[in-house]
Amino acid sequence: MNGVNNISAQNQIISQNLLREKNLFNSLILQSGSKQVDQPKGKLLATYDPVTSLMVSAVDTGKDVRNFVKAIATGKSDDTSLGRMNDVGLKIGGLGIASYLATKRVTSTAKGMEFVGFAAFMAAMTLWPKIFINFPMYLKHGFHIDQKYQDSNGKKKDFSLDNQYRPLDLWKAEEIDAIADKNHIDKDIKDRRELTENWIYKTSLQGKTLATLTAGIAVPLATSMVCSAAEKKLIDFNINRAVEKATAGLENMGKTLAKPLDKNTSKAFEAILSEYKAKPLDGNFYSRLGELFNPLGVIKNEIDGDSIKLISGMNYEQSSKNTAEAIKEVAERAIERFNAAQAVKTQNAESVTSGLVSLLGDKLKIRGGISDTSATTVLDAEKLKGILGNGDLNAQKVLKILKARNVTVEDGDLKAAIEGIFGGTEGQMKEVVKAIRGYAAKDLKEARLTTGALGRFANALAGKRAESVYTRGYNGISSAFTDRMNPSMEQMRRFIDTSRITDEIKTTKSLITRIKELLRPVAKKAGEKEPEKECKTAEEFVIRQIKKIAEWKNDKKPEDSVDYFIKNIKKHLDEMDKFDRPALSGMKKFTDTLATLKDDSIRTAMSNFIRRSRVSNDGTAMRLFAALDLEKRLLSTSVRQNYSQKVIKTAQDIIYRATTITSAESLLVSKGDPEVYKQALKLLFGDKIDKEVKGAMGGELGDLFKDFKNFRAKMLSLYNRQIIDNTEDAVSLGEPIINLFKKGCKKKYNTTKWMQIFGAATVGIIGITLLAQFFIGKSKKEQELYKNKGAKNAV
Amino acid sequence: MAKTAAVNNSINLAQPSPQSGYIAQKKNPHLANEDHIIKKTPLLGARVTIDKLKNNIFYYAPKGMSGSVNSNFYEYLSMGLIPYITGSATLIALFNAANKLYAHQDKVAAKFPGAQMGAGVVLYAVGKWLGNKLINKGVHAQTGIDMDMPYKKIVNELPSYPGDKNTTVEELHRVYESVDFPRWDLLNKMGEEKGNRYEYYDKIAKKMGYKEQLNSPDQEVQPKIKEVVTKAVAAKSISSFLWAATGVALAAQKPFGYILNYDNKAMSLAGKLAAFPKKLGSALVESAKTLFTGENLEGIMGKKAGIIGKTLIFATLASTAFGIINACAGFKAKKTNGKVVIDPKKEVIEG
Repeated sequence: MNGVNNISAQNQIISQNLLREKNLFNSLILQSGSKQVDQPKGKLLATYDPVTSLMVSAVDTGKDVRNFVKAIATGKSDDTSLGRMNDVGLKIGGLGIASYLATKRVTSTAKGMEFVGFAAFMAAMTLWPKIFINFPMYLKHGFHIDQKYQDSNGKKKDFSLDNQYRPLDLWKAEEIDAIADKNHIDKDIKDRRELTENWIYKTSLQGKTLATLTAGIAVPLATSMVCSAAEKKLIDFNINRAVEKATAGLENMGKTLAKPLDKNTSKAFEAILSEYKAKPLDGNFYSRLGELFNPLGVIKNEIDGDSIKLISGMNYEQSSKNTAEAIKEVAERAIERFNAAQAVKTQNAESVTSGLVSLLGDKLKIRGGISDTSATTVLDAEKLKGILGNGDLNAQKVLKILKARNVTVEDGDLKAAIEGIFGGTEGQMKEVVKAIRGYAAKDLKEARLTTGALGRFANALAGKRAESVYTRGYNGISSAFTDRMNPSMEQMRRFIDTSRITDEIKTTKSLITRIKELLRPVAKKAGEKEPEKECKTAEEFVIRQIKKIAEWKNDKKPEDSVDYFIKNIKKHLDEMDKFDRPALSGMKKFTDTLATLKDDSIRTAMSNFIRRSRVSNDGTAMRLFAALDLEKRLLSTSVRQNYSQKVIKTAQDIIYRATTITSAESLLVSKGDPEVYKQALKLLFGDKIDKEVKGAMGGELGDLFKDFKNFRAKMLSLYNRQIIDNTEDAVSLGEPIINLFKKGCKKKYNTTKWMQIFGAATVGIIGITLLAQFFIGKSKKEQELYKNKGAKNAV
Repeated sequence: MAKTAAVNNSINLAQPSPQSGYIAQKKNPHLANEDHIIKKTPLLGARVTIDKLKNNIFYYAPKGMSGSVNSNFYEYLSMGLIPYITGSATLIALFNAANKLYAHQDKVAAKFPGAQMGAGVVLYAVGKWLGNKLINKGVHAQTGIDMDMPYKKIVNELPSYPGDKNTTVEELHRVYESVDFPRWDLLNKMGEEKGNRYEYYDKIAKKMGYKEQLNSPDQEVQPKIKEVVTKAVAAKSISSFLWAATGVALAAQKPFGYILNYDNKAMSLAGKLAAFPKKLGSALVESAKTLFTGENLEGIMGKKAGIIGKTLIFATLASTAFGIINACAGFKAKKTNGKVVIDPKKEVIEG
């Protein structure tokens, strides 16, 4: 049947052809050829504005998809449509790449940037020739080299797509003439229109070739420039959105709680619980629970026993049964463990001593001297008690003390023995907390429960590794300060690069530096100031630069003033302030929702976490102000006379470098003479604040000034006490200025270096592209030929 | 027989002519002046690419920049290779060129994504090529239609200056590069050289399942070829980019971040080159595994990465399989009761 059909279809076509030929013949004979047989339907298309053109291209992409489906289904298509399908494929492939790479990125900004990069690349491909070639050429020559037309089959094409297929009949004669006029083609040339048409194609070809030659370099460069500009915006957007979302999460907590566990989760949950009915809980238990849900997302950034406290603080009566009950069971087991740990958490020296002696007997040894070879003797109970002292002891503390005094155990593990005395709880506790934290970190994003919502909120506001309001604040302070210090590239490289030796730096001086050095004697004669001596260390440099700011007078740049320095950093503190209010209200909503919390420990822990992060940022900023205040006051002779050089040096040491590890019980050790140390503290935090600094902070009533005063008072007491026994105090010291500066330098150096290379390359390629257009569209020679020989002979 | 043509453009800039050294038509010298199908040899594709690249730089681009009237669409399409190469180089440079200038720790850290980017660019190109090739090969095996069948085109240009005698240049095309105008004439000519105009169509008709020789096989075969080619080209336009995406996804796996790191730092360049294929092979295998499972750089399973990775792999393989099957579906002559219902002796008028 089909074969026959084919043939009859053939016959049908043939008979149609015959009919058409007959009609054509008739029309030619009868209507004396005055009418065209097939009226061409092609037309030039309007040039759209960017928005319309975007819409048109979206519609066209829709058509491409339709054509694709048709081509796949029927095998019928044409070259133009098939060519356009390639663009659809390019977009699908690009989206595939962006989607996949996004899964490999950690922060939402990095994820988002994969898509931004893809979109920017696509846009750059279209816009590069449009902006830097077609548009300038339009201004110069009066026509669009990418002018679109629609052919008789309804296909859209560039009129200059094929240099040897020229649909010039679509242009009106006047349009050609107008272009000729604009481009000063001699009016007395006989074949002026033909010359102009040829010239239009020649110019278009040149422009298109230029686009082809430059696009490969320009498109990736332009994309990277767009991306580095967009990234900052995207970070801001993501941070703000995360805070908003987390706040909404707190508000909707009631609803989230009411969600029942799905079937699979509850089945798996029951399986784990029944397995552990008789067994003691171990890390594995918590890990497996973490696979199911993350009840403790909140404690991601918490440490030690606080984590367990959080669980004991939970009350689930408010929530719906399924999910909450599941969590309750986990919590109860954890509480059980916690209580056991709590019960034997601390002991006194007496009980520890008797425990150790009974456990180890005379295996317990103490080394007499400092050196490794000095003789060891058996440690008796009295001496041990003396070493341990009077305070409350926990396993960690005991271990630390004994180690410091060279106490060892013959054929045994001191640590295990001590933990044995403390009921082994510390070690187990750690294991539990570690396990909980392990899955909490892994699954934080998928936290489904109340505490998860709170954790997300805290993270959005104060998360350290995530993009958060306070991380942004810290980065802002860091880069504002580094910019103000105004280090050169050469200096930054030296300050951050610990791997290079000094000699090598000398050999890698830039050419300009070398020339400057060569010219120095000449310049000196000409009356130029001797250049500043190069600072050897970052510390020297920072002190010198802060001093310069302190010395500022009206005749210098306003950016180097005390006022500018303080306000520029205050900006970032203010930005964080803006988010503190929603933070407080978010917290309140949380408490309101879970009104029956046994105690407020979850909220307390979280607000502690948030506050600590904020205090740390404030400390960092205040420390900068304190340094400036110190240098400012040191300018006065009376201050310099009141304090010895040693005191001043110690004060600078403290403000630029002093640090403590951010855990409890770290000491701020004073070096040398206690009297000097005391004097230094007075100079730093005790004396009256400099007037100009005070003014820049808004005077007596300024919030910043009040904060600064509080900061100084706190520092004075902390440094005087020399003991820091909680995390919040530790972080309130702020980051040492030298560390802050070095970190800032590292960032600035890399970014600047990258920009120096690729920013210059981008400017270069734009320059070349624009410059090349001066050589496009020259027509003098052709005009001469046309004049002399006429169109037919001119080639 | 590759005829050279020293063509000067309108501003009389002397330029070398395109050389097409890969074809020698010794048997039929008269063909040298006409378009004709040429025999495919191994590595022809690679040689054509290198040749095109050479011509792009020394011939087509200067011709285009000077606005030569002889610059044609083939040359314009040929030049499409330039942004691919410069673009790849720029992308690699963006992620690598500044690295050695960074501070020490960052230098080390930047090396990893830099290597992945480099591998990504290369594997994108390889993936795209492979995606096209696989469908071409599949369709060729099923139908006998070789979409890569090359022909040499002799182009007569306008003289570039009065009295210019050297006006022919050679171009290398594919018979089926246009579905609107496949070069049936060249297929006919190829047959005529051997005394049977329809030789090619007979071959395809046989593949279609016609046991007897058809009277006018071109009538039957030509529309079928168009259909197959159209379907295949459409499928390739999506499939090749999926292959390219899979290539990039492979490059984003851990092994490719270390692809240029050698344990033995003192190894000579020759030693490194010798060890590279093995390293590359194991990197590809390892990467394919982690792309499938979704394991991330720290060895932790990423749920989303696994889902998208699997989807990508399946979509890529499926697009190739579908492309081949769909292109060949309907190619076979339909049979009724095992017998082809067609009257091969029936006379038709050639239209």
